[in-house]
Amino acid sequence: MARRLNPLTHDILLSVALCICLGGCTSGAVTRTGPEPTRPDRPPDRSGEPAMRAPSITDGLSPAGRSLVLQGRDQRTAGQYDQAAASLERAIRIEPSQPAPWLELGRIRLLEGDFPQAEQLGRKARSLAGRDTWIESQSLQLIAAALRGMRRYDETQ
Amino acid sequence: MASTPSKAGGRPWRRPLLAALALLTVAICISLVMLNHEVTQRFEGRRWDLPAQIYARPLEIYAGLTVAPERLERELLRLGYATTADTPRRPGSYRRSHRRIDLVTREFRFWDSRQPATRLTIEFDGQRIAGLSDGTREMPIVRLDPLLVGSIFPTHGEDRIVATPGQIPEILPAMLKVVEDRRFDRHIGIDPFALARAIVANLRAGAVIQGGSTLTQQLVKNYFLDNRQTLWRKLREAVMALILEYHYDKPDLLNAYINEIYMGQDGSRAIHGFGLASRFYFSKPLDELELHELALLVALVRGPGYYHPQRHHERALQRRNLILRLITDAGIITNEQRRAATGHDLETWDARTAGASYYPAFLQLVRSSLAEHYRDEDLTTTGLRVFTTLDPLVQADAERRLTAGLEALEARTGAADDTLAGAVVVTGAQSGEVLAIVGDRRAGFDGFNRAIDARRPIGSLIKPVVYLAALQTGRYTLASTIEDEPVTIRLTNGQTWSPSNFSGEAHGTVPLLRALVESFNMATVRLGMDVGVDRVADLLHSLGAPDRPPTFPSLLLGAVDMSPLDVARLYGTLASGGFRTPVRAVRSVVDAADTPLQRFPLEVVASADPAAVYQLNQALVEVLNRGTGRSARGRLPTGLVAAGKTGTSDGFRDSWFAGFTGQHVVVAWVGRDDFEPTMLTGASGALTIWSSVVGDLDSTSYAPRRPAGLENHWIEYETGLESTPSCADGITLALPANASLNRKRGCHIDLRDVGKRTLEWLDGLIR
Repeated sequence: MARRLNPLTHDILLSVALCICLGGCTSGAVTRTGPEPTRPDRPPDRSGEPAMRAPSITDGLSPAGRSLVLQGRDQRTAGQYDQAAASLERAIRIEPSQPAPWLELGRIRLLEGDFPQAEQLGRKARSLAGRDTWIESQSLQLIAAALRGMRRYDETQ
Repeated sequence: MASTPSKAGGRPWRRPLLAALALLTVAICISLVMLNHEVTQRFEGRRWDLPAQIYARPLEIYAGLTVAPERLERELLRLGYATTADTPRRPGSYRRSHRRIDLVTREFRFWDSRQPATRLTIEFDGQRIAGLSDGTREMPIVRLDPLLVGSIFPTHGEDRIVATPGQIPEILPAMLKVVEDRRFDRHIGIDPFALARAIVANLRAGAVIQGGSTLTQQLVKNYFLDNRQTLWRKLREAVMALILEYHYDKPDLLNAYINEIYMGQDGSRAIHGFGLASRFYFSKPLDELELHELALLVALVRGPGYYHPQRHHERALQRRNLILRLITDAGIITNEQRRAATGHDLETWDARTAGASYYPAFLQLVRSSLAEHYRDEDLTTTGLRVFTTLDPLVQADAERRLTAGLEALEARTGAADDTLAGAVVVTGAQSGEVLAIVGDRRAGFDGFNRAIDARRPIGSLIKPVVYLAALQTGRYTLASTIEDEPVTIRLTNGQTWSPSNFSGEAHGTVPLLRALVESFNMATVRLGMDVGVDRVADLLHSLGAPDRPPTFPSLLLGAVDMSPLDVARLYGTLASGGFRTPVRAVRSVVDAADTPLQRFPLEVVASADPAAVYQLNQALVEVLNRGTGRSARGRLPTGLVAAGKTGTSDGFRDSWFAGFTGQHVVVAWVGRDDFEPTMLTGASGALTIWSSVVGDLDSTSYAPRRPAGLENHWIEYETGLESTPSCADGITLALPANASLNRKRGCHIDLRDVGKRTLEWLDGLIR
């Protein structure tokens, strides 16, 4: 089921995973260190060239789902993992087939050191990604980080 | 003690008399000390045993939610929200106009945060919420306060919610004094005048029509519930009342009274105190009760059974109005207030919504989840708050549908009344949360819970597992063909097994798709034997069956016992693309100080290949379009895409249907407790109930994203050959990209086909 990655991608994934892990371990209030693009606070500028907007975790979510996922993120950043998980579970109940809340929930489990659930949630998010390659790569990063947490290095390839 | 002077000089009787008196004094002193200890202990133990309070799920309100305004209003009424004529201002009130509901939510402490009372305007667009705002700005999402659905009370049955002095309406103490004990503020615990008056009145009437007990005496009586009317007991009560009055203030005593007094019975559950009575009779907090509602509760104090508002409506109404008159005469309310209050009918929630007040089947599940983590004593005494997944509206609908469905089936099959039993389970498709569980046709029946405890053969419900096992080998796709021809299997005991089809016919070479959609037994057994019974048993267990079943070939046709709840877990794994989730009834538990104690987190375990599950589910959708489940179409909402499978056990003993939409997994079972045949198939029995339950759900279509590695093909349903849209009887199927397909001859690619493919390609880009 896991896709084979070439060695370069593998290295990148490992370093990203390491960053996420370290970020989680060093401080509860650390800001994101992964390559997640920031969320768009205002609509894209339409004055000039149609700028390519960076993909966001909240793409495709309804306003309710978006507000809960962002709230969960803020709570995660503040180290309130229980509350963050509660917000994301609410988002999942509302939009169960959107990958973003699953992915975010997996990130919380990773920070909590629950690597088996982090991996499973990463797989769940990936299964819902469809053709969204950005979500897919984020899910793969989560899975790789979780596998590293469990010292299953060979499977991260 | 009568004695005569003895002839033998002195007063020899004196000594024994003194001794007796001394003994008596000592005995009285000892009993006083004991009574004092007993009653103060009870009173000081002001920390009443607080049963854990069980809450339903809070309704999440947001733009885009599919819910008809009527249904939302039902929820509000169930929560005891009051209707207002103008803009609602008080928490717990609302106003409904045609396509809009204005309301003010109640403040509520959820397990994760406190939500203040919030003013909301909800705009509807048909059956869905179009917008949500607090009057000035859009709100993304707001939770309503959840319904209190029950509590875990101890075996002696006392249940209560303690009201703090701040939550007690100011008028209530005054009302109680006027009605029950006018001289409460002056007497010392007993009231000789009231007693004398009562005795005279009772003698005159020749019956007990008036009580002379003070509030304090009534409080004592409630402490040591004992209904024997003996003189000794009366005396004991009087002494204890004096002791209480000696030790404590009047307001303290009154507050204890309000929380202690017996207010009604709900099965084995005794309703104590005004706090719980308010919830029980009106489904709202005590501080929101209106005058006529408070008056009814005060009326109940005299005899909750005798003045039961539903069973003895007229009697209760008269007593309530008497109480309104008494407090008017005492100057507590004005004549105008009295008139307004008297104008109301009794309006207990039960009369308004006719739903079940009590969820024994669900609470059983909650109790068993909690039993793993808490001692009984903690659950019944420490005031835990338990947040569950129950959806009271879905529960009420499912109860109603099961009852009506079984009656209709009995009428149709000519079965005697009340011979059929049934069960329904509704869970969240991806969360595994139990929204409703019905284990008996009598809603509110607290007994054998078939949804959890009845393990019955699942019949063809197992077939998706057989086909999934085949798809996961990579050797089969839904378009691969198998033989639906007679088959004989030699068993290990030397006997042979020759299953046949339901129709008795063989269908020759058929694709997996059709064999599953039309539930062919011979094709399934052949496929299962090729894949391996072991593999099917392993997969069944991994998808959510409680145990790995023994690997007899008959397993392939569902000779394995499972409960409806087990089946919900199994089909939940299919609904969520191969990820198994524990079935949960509890989300969170907090203690009396709101400290979170236990979370029951959402967890998933990848149990099957998502692409194989996606492929399989296409067949389960076809079951309802053209297969054994097609008769349900008329009952399901138009355009709703759902998936599912019929199941019938040997000799028509069990009729099953299990299936799912985008949001819900629903399982229905019909059978008889004595295991006699019902003569119902899955389609003619359980499916009728299943489809009516799904029809009530406001559910969304099953529409998963197509996983990578699958491609759409146009397939002929009867043969599994690749065809074109111009050929009859075709269907679009997502199959593995490397699937080897045989082309149907005579149906060439035409322009319409090209156009169709282009559209599909575009569709793929957009998805």
